[in-house]
Amino acid sequence: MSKTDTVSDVNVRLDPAHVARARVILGGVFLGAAALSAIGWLFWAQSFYVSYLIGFLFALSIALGALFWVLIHHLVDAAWSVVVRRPMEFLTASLPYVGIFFMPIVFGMGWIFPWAGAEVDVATHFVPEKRAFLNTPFFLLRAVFYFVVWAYLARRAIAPSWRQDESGDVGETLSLRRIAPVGLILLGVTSTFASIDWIMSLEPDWFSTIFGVYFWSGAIVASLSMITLMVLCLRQIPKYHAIVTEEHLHDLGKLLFGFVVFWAYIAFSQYFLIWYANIPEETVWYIRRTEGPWGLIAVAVGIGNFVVPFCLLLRRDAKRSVWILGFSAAWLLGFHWLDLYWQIEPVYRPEGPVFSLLDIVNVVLFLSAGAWMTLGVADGRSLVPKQDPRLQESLAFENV
Amino acid sequence: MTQAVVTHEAEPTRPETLERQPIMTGTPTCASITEQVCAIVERPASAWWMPAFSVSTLLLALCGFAALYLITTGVGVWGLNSPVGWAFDITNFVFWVGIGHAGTLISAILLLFRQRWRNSINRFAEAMTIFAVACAGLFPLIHVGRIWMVWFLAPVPNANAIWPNFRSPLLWDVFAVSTYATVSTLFWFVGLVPDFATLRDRATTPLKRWSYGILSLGWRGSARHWLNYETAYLLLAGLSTPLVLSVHTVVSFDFATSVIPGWHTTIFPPYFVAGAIFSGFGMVLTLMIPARQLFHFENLVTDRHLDFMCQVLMATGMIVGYAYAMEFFTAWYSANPYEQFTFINRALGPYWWAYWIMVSCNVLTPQVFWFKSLRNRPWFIFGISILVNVGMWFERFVIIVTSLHRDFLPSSWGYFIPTWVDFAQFIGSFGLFFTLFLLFIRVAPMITIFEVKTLLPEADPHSQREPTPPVEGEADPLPTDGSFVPGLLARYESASDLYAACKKAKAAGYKHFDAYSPFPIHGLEKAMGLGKSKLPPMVLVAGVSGALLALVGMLWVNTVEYPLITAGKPYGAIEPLIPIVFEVTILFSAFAAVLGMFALNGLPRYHHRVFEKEIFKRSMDDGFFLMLDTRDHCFDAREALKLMRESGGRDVCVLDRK
Repeated sequence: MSKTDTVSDVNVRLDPAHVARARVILGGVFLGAAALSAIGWLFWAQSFYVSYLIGFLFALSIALGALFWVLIHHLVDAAWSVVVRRPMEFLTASLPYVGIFFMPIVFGMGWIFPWAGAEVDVATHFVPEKRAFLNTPFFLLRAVFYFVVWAYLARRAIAPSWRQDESGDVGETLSLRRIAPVGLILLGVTSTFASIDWIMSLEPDWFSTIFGVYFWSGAIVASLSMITLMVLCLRQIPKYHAIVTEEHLHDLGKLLFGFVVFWAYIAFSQYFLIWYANIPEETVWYIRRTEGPWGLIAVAVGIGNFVVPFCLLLRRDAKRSVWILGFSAAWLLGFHWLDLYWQIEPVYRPEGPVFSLLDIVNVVLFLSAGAWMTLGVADGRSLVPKQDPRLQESLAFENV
Repeated sequence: MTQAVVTHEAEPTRPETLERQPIMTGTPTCASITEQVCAIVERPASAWWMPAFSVSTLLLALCGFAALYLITTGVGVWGLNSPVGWAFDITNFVFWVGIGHAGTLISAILLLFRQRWRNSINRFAEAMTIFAVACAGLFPLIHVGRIWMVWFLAPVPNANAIWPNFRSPLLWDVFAVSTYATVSTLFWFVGLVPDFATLRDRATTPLKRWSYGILSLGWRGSARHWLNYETAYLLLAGLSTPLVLSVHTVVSFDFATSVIPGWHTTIFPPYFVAGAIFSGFGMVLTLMIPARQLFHFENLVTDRHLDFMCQVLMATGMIVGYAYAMEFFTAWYSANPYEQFTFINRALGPYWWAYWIMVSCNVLTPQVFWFKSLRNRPWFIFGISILVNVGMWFERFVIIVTSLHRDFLPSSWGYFIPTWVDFAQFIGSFGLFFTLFLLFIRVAPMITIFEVKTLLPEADPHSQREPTPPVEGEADPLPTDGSFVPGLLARYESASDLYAACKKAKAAGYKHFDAYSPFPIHGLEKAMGLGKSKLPPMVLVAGVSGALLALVGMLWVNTVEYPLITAGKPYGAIEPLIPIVFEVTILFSAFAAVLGMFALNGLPRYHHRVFEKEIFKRSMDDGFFLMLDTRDHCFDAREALKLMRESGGRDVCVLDRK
């Protein structure tokens, strides 16, 4: 009856030869995408910068969400998720490098941020009054601060877990548990202001107090989708398949379902309050995004991020089904990108969305870079925190 | 500062902190838990109860008198007037609704998150929810002024053929709060049914036996019952979770859909929900700490429970602090002079004291719980929880009154001063709350007996390695004259024994047999081959019907029957209908879950033949029973007796015909 007896071997690793081959391919894809992206930059700088920003935020939200999941796991002393924690940690491990990918955005500030351009005071009403916040030096200083905090937190949130694989020291778990509350506070504050800086300030007149929460809710769903996909891929390895059972998938599915609803709740709250109060300085943001061709994208964002995954994941059996769960996760990742696209692109193309190869190229660029880094981190490491004090509990986990 | 605290905590590296601590202390058993919890209800009231009850009812009388005075005189006896048109009334309303939220959080959300420690505090917290919602409902009811016209709020055309305005947040409130009150009561009642059955079986007077018998609806702890019951309970938890969020969200819409600086801000929905949970946990601690001391159940509600609750308090307090900070930042960032003035005025204007009470109680005070040592001191926590209650009352006061008292035109500025009627009703609402609470602890178990039992190690059907040996020398229960035996009932010593016996019965070909236990046994339905509950599809159908009914009904009123432009919204706009559609969906689903569960279980039922056996009185206490009968064609009295005896069954008795 007891599953713990059957799973004695938790020593699972990726095959180094496969990893090496995959990384070569990913490196090639990355270089190709980078080359195409560079061509885009030469000829269509504006389009390049915008699609690069969307790609960057897409990848960043996945990594930040992963950090959130690692920290929340330790904060609440969760047991069931021990066996699926490594994918979260692998994604988190790329956080110290996101600063490098921010460089093109720094160079393109004048193209991207209306308040950083030359004719800003004519184009917008309130920027002069916001100069204390919306100015280039302070903006860069904040960005550096976020990257430093995230790099530090990523390190503190995963390094003890690596060390524990070797030493088996429960003190490492305690140190993770101590960083969790502080880390979540820092993560909450930094990601709020990052979303204000990098998305909200694209329309510098507009403001919304819930915006930071809106950004997290999307990031949490996107990263959980990515984690779920990683877990499903890793289950191709028979040993891992024996460790991560349907019970764990069921829990991932429940969380995914719950946070899909949470995203909808936050997105609806923001839209609804602005729609209802109907104050011009606020509605302008939604009018730009819900009228004309953008209106179709707005509907797609709502249906894709809420209605479809809600119906797909409602049933218990669906959460335990590899195919429905995997499809929902992949679908949600796509629609998270569309959510970001819908928030950002209308600033530059108010007349409607235009299909651009650069949008795809930049997603490929970030996904290949992310996958390359993640595989690099995963290479040689155990795919299960094999000395975690809660491991046995996680292996034996069953839903009631 | 936090960093330092954390390091301080780190120093002693004690591996034992990683061991899962038991949720309860001491060595409780099924029988001891039943005895301990039921005794509180069954024994005569403690010496303090009557004085406490008298004071509460006096306060309630004060509240009633003030309400009567107001209704006969007019709302003008309150201190509110233009520009402060909402003051104590709505502050108290939001305060009480908020307090209710912790109960649902504990009963529903913590259940979904498998926080099993909640099992010993959920009944208490749910009772608090219902009584707090009752207090909350009082204020809008009185505030309508002409209370005899309150039925205008119902979704029917009133005396002048005017329909209610479905696009108004105040009407959403009516739907949200009444749905919340109904679903919370259903949830609470469903949880109480098995415990009422326990009280019924222990009743010493006919009146008690009769009343608890009616209330328990003929519950007999059958495995088939528990299967539907647990499904219903889980579904109710799943429904209550979005419901509890929606209630305070709708309350926040009362303010946030307006165009008043300080009220209209997009973070209000999650901010109000977090604040509600924060205040509710404050109140749970305020009530729980004295209660567990007075009734001596520190072994069931341990210091560990308090520790967890302090952590929730700290987390939600910080979410509230985040919202305060974001409001200030965004007011500046908006570059809107009205927004900026409102927030500066909050902190430095005439009501500065209210603002700083709010910040210090809600954001600063809970920070003490970074220290683990302070999370272990019940009376210190009690003090903090009082401060949280105070702070959260002031939060609502600050939001409501300071945003209103400075109108857009300085000529319309004012200052709200409460009258004695305001105070009488506020204090009197505590009278209502405590009156209900004190009555509750006299008639119903304040700890969920059956759920606490599931926390015992022996509740796990695999906990016992060796089966209890069969008893020797028990008299043969079968009739010697060879007359017909309709069925047999045997008692087992433990959940493990019953589980093993059920497996044997199934293997012997029985299908219609039944097992009875004082709590749901994990996996028993599989061992018996019962399959899944039919409840979920029923609930889904009910939910979809509710949603369609509400949506189509309101669209019909808004576009065909009574088209009216309000606040410039289009006739057919879907957005303002969503809150009510949501509430009706939840209401229908919850009724389907509860009524469907009872229907599938064939309850209420007046009589069942197992009740005739004296030994069955232990079924909701510490007895585990197996019943085999002639509904299975393979039933043979001699063989069945052998199966029962061999699997450890004792006290075997012959059942009557149905």
